[in-house]
Amino acid sequence: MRKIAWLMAMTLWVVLLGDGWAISKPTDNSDIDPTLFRVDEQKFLGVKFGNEVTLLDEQGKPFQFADLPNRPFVLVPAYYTCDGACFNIGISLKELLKDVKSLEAGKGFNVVFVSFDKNDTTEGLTKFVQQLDLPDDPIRGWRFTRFEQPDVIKREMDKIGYKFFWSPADRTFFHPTLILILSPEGRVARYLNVLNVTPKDVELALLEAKSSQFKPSESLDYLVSLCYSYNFKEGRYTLSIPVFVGLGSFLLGIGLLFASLGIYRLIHHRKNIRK
Amino acid sequence: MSSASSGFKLGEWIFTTDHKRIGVLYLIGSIAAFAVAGLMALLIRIEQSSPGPTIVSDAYTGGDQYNVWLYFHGAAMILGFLIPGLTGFAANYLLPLMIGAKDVAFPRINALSVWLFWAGIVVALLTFIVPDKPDVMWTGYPPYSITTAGNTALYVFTVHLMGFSSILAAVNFLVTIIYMRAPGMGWNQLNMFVWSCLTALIIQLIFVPVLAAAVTLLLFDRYLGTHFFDPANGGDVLLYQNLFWFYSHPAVYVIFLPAMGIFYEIFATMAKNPIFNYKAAVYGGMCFIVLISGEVWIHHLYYSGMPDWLRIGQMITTLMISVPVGLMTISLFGTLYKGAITFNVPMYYGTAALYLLLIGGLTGIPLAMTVMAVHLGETSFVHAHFHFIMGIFSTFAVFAAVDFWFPKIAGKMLNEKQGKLGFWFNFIGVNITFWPLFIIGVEGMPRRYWDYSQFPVHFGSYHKIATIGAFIVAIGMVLTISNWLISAIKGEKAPSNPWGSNSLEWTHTATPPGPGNFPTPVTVDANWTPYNYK
Repeated sequence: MRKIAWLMAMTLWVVLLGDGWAISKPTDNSDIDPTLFRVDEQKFLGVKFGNEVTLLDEQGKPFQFADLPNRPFVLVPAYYTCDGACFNIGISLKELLKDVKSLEAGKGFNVVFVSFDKNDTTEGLTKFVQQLDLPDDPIRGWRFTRFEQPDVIKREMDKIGYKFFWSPADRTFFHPTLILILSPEGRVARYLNVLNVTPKDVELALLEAKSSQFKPSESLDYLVSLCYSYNFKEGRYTLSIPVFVGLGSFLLGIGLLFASLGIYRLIHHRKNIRK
Repeated sequence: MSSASSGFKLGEWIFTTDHKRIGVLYLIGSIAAFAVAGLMALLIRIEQSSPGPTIVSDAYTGGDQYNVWLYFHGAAMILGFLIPGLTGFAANYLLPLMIGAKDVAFPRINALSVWLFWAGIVVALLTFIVPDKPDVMWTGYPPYSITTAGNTALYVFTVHLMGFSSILAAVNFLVTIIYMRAPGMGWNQLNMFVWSCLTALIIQLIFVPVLAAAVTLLLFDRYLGTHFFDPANGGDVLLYQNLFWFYSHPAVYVIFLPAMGIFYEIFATMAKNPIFNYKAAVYGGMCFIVLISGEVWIHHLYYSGMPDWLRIGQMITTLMISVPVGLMTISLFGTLYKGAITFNVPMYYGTAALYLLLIGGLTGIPLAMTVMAVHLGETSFVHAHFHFIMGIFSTFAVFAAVDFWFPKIAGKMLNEKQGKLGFWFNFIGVNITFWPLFIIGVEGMPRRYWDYSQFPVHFGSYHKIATIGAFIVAIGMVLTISNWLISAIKGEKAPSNPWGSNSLEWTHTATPPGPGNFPTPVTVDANWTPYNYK
């Protein structure tokens, strides 16, 4: 009897061990169809983020998202114990922003990381920031935050169309490599895939988000931004050919005026010579 | 003085390069467009006279039929009647005569221009023959114009033909005014109508190519699968609206300025007064309009989304337009001041135009203001506003021009009684038509709706009144146009200068003027002006 009980206990142990191993081991089936994370951009553009939401800053102090400086934002949904994608997003963004010439982080816009992991801690956040190796500048314009109340995370992320989920099998969050460009009022102006865009795309998206705040000295930047339009299919900005066609035809009209005056003078000059 | 040869020869008219005949051809074509577009207006009004289907076949296809009427009415009235009626007919016939020129600078190009215009009219009329009738309004906004089953190509080709015609006309007249003025004629001695054409044609020449480019890209999107205006594929749908209004708002001044020029001529002649504040009206009024005309188009996009600073800036520049317009209006009133005014048919239309200018101008102020425009902009209020300030004001200018220069063109006098009767029908009719639309517009009646059964019941009564007004206008139009036709055949012979004008077309040419316009070359001295009445 004792042998039978021992045998059953061993069998149960083996089964549990096997289950545990099976659960913890990444399998081929863990590959996620990336289209699952696609955001229906046109549905969410203009949605306001962070309305009456309390965030915790790098030191764990609470603050309202609405209290952040009245500038455009690069909003980066991430989590700080992420072992791959979030760090890559941060590094890629840092590299991209180095080449954004017309606007400077901390002056023209802010970068706000916001964690969608309720288990993130100040320690994990600090470690993440250290790994990013950002310049040690008080106005560097990068903020790393967490939600104060975990129960609003899903609601706020759903509101902006950002999809993510925890995979127990992989012990990780699956999430897209998206960054959001928000207007100074916190409204979603553009979604960009940070691994698929150029500094020019980020710059144009920020200029677009900033369009309500232009200073006269930035007119040239604004005019240049009008020469591009966002391509939803490619997820990046492309030159807007109709702008150049329109400009060319406008110049054609002016040219026609002077050309016709010149032609008339030429014809009469020839007539006078014949006489 | 030599006069035009009598006897009608079709070949002479087809191959003519005479600016006066070309002017008459423009008049015939534009009145034809006006007549058909007017019929469309009647259909629109009948349809709106009751909520739900009135004359459209059923509730499912009614919108499509109604859109075709709206398309033809808008496109033909603006592109086929107002612009060619003013810068085609009036400028062609009068401009060389007023500056003492024998003809225009490029007579053959002028002939090409009028036949392109006629081709445009024919293409526009194909609307009623093709099975897939265009239904894209006169604006042709994508994405509808790209996805509709209607024939967008017909719209685009009409714009191309009319646009090309107007570019050629603009080139011709600008060169004519700049290089072919009579010896001694300085810039400050030009007729107001010449100045108004000069400024309008500068706008036309510069901005028409932009419209042509926009509709060409639209054609590519519709038929060649490009994505210039398709946001899903990197295009920008609002860009079309920007390009369209970049031309089409200045086009308002292409219509408005020559209309003002015509009323200046009539007022000065009928009041026997010089132009009040000539230089202020020319340089501060007309030239200033040219300068800012290309900078105010964005007020047509107030509802399309734009930064606040741009919206406010556009509101300011739009309101600034009232400064030059105000200068010209004061000048018009001043020209009548203490004048010995002869109240004949052209002067009736001129006086009515002052009223239209007042109502149209005042109702434009709330539409220029962003906060009001959001509420009023897509209602029948704006519909009534632009009919007062652009549609009827300029139509009255064409009628006044024909009535005023009819003795010169036809050598016959118009029947004054029938002319006045036609005027009163027209004037009373337009007020009965459009005042109700102002009222229900403020209450929320949307523009362009054929079925408004979901709106307050009393809107139907206002629409009925407006429809009655439209029929009164129709009677007035028939009286007016038939008066021209009957008087051209049976009218009393006109004296050479029946109004006692000082302008060259009356004082130095035969009635009607013959080939070459002037029997001897015209020269003027430094003291000469066309308005030297005192």
